Amino acid sequence: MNGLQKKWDIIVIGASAGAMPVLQYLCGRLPADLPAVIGVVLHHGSWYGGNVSEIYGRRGHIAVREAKSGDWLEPGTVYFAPSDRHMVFEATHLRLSRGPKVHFTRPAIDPLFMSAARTFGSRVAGVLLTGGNRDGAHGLVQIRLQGGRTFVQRPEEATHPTMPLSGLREDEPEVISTHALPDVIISLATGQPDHLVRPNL
Amino acid sequence: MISCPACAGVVRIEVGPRQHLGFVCSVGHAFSLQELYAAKEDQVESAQWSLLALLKHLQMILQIDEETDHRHVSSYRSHDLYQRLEQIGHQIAQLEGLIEGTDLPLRHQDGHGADRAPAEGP
Repeated sequence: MNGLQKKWDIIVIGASAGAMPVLQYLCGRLPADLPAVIGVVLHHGSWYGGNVSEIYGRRGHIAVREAKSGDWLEPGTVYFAPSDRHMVFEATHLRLSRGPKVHFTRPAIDPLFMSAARTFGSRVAGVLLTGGNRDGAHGLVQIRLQGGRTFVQRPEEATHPTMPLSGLREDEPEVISTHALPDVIISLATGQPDHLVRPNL
Repeated sequence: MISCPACAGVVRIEVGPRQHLGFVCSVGHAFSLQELYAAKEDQVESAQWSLLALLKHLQMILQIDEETDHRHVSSYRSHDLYQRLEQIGHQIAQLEGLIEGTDLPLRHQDGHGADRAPAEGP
């Protein structure tokens, strides 16, 4: 790349059933100065009132917060979509919406993935983790069509493999091991050779 | 009377031995107070989207009429139709604002269920 490493500094992650320990593991290993914005949609009920910073941010260095509509997209921050709101990325900030449920859920993964792809194009990396439905697969396709990079958790490592398998059916994502996830994200954000990324199944 | 969220029946209140409130309909659908509330919130949202869809259908119909020079709804006065179209636009915006502005109460996690941090590791 003419001496310039390609970087993916907008990273969007979709997760559902069984993802809490994976996201804790990931957030616990990301540095505070990660040069990327991370958006996470984790499916949960409309009434869920868990403390995101406490659950996902207490073991690591990176800032972890529940998103508020209008938040500026700051590198070194993981934004979790709150209960009962879709989260979309715009050019400089994020927006929350109580729009129609997508795949019977709100927050849903596809709105985040599609908005990131639409706004940031080839700067986006999308990651689909464990889950029991098909949300996120169309979003992965959009990310790839806009020049971004797509990944799914290795299905045999996923508590509920339907979501990563759905990503593999709809798109051509790279498959990553759960243990390698933090290093892959760091390498994407910093433009280092991402030798940890495994080829597709 | 409160209708059953799962059928056309009506729920009756049953008070348990420890004053625990239950709601049971004539065919046997049963709910706790919390479940009944959550189901009714779902019904409210569903009804809001249904009303929004109906208003948008009305808007589309009147727009078709407007574009086709009132040949299809010619028995109405055109000024009234324009006024109604404008009113529908306002009602759509108001309803969208109502949906967007709804904040459901979050549940305490109380150190159990999904809020309890599991052991470290993927």
